Amino acid sequence: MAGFLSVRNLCKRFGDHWAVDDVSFDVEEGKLLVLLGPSGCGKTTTLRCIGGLEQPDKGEISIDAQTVTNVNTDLFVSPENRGMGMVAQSYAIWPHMTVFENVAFPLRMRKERGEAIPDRVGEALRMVQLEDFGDRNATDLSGGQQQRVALARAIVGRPKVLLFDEPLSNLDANLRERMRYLLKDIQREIGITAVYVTHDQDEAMGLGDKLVVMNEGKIEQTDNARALYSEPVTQFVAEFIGVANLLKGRLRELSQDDDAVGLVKLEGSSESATIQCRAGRAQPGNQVSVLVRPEWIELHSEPPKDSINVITGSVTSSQYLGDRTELIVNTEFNEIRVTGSGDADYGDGSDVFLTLDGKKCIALPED
Amino acid sequence: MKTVLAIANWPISLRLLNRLTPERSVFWVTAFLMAVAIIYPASMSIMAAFTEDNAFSLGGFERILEHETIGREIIRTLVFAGGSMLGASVIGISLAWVNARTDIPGRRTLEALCIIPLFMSAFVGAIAWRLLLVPRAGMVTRFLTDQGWPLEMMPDVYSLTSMILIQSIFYSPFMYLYAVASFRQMDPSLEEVARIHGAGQWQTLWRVTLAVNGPALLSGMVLVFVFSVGTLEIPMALGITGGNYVLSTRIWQLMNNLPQDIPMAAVLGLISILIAATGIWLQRRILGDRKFTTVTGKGYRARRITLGKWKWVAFGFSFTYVIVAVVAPVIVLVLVGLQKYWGGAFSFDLFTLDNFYSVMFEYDVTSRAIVNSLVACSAAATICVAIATVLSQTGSRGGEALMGLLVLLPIAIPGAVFGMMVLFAFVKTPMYNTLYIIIFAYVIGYFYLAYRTIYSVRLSIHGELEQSARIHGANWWKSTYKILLPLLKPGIVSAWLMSFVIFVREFSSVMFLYTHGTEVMSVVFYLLMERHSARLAAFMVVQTALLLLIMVIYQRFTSRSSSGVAM
Repeated sequence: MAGFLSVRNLCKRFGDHWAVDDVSFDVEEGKLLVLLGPSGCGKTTTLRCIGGLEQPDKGEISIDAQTVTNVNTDLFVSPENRGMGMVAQSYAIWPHMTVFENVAFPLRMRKERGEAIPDRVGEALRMVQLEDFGDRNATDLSGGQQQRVALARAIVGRPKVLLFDEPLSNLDANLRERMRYLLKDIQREIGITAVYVTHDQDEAMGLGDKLVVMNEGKIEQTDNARALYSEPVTQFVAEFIGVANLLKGRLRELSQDDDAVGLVKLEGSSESATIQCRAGRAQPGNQVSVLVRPEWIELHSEPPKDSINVITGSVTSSQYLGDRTELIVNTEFNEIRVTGSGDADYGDGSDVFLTLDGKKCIALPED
Repeated sequence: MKTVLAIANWPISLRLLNRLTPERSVFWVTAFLMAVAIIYPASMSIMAAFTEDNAFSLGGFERILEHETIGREIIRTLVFAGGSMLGASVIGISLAWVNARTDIPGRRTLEALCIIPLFMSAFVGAIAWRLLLVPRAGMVTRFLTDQGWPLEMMPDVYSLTSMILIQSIFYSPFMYLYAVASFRQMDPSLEEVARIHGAGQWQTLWRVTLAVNGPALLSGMVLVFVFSVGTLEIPMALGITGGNYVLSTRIWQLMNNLPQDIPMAAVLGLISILIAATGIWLQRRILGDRKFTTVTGKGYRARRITLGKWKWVAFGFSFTYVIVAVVAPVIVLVLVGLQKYWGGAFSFDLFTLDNFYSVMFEYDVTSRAIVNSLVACSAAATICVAIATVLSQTGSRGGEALMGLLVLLPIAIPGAVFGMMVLFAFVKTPMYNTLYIIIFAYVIGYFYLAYRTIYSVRLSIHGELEQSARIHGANWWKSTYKILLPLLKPGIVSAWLMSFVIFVREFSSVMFLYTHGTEVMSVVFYLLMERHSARLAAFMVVQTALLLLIMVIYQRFTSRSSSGVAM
């Protein structure tokens, strides 16, 4: 079943380069979908196609069961007739208007009754906590305030779909986090369907009901935040979201008790080790990389009693960060980043034993 | 730390001395000299307005009040300057928008062609259009007559309307450059967000694009207004024949026809300045301190507006402009220059190269004028660039304020009036009747253009680049020579070329300052204007060719160094 906003087989070419290459996804009504990826992955272009700011070369886009773009039938609804709101990366606050006029603009464009406008603008400004700023000149505001005006302007007309183009990337880290919560609250309060573009994984995981990870114009994986972190399907996703240790090896066989568990033989320079982990999509015989997150590792200074999934190595550097200690451990198979508890105290060069959590580590087939 | 403490204990006078670093002293000395160079001629002409036979007099004012036509001429000046401002804005802004923001075909070529008139003299344009439209013998009028077009329907090239139209056409590129720079600087998401929030293409154009770029456009418009108040070119080439005197031509006539009336000319000069200053004051009043165009850090490729079938209308508009402003004038000048005499159409029987030969080799003023032009213009351009480079290191708040004034003053003085002022300033000095006063007029009248170009490049050079040179052991001179000047070089070269072109085509002020022996190229136009139109056309072709050659160099240079700073 198609969602409230549905994107089908979207392609967009700039010259010889396919910026968006066969992208499809659905967003359910009232949900927030995040398009996540490194710069140049096509996420912004996808957003602009939804807004009608770009004409795609292939594909179909529909909002609330109405098609707004269909390349096959040459249908293209112009941006002003799509009933959307947008927050741009540069805020795009019109410098020649007051805050009030900026926010009132979408209502005026829809020929809304004059009397209703002050109330609705006031309400929108209240939601972004700028109720007393209506008379200010837009250019007199700080970056964070301009961002909130942009948000008020985007929601004032109760659009069907709200588009966010990296809205927080120009704010400093502190403000960014506060805005993230405000955004989430407002989006949930008014229940607008939204598409949110970002390259910041914290933002994406914190805000998104569903995340689409893109790379080089293609979708790598569509899932919720938990699944992307614990069960990435590609090495790209594993490395893009969170910190990833990837250990190369070959999936020898699946466990006889549970075929979701596999045995991976890691090949080191002088020795080899066998690891038990989740097999994921890998098949026996595949070249794989085992994904080991830093906190999926237990640290020991003595050889642990249970010798399954243990790798030995020596600490090359460690950083004490209060609640945790981050270590880099040199092993036979790769450098491994480990997150230990705050009181784990290992000097550089000391030998350690790493127990990998076989229930969490997962084998990813080579790309 | 020790030195800081020591300085803190010094008396104030010594502390000031300590702040007088080499860069500061060079800046302040230059700025002071420039201020004197502007204020001295201005005060001399105020003196002239109140002096008659070496005594205080209000005679100039009295004769203006008694004069029958001066009132009408002031109004005509306002209509001419205001109309030209509006015309140039409509044409220039439309061309800029079409070129910068839409998907019309052949944009690059059109842009190169559209700014050609900037490199031609408006006087050349006016003469060319006279040759096209003069009753009976004009190329267009002759053609229309042959088609049976009634004589009373013929456009009158000597009318005020024609003057305004031709002035608009030749000042449009100026507006174009202002508008195009502003449009390209604007964050395209300002427009896109308007579209998303329900504004159509035209609403977005009005309510966002033009509104946001308004301040930049308005400052360009005021400059066109002030130029038009002070220009002699079109008023002299077309206005005098049609009896349409404006203030500039009246001033020139009072200064050059016997009997001279210096006080009256000086008073009319002050009135012109008042008109120009009112324009500038109005602009500043409307703007306040608003400056809307916001530069975006993110280099997202702005999507051009898809015009659909309107694309060809827009293309046709740009194409027509190029024909009217460039192609037709150049063609008619070449054709007229190649004829024994001109009867309104080209005839192979009358083909000759004599006009080019005689104007270049037999008319002795020409060769002298070419040498004078090359010497004076390159000297003035070099001085301008040197001054502008020094002054671009303002460094302090007081320096910024002073420079704002130094840049504003020459702009507020209309060209012809400025020529007269320089004359007043030097009439009793040995510099009178030399090439030096022409160089002086070039430099003081236009150094602000070089200053703006170099200053904008200066702003883009981060102070840390020099500071780190200083920290690594270079003294002021070395860091300037090794770091700053090489970085400024693109700005310096384009400012030099631009100044050179402006000087070669400068007409209005030079008309007051030349004498036998110091004629420059634009003076030759005037001398030939009523005497020999075929030779005039031939020489205009030569001058235009020279300027276009420099334009090609300029465009090559600016596109390569990608510092295309608008004039």
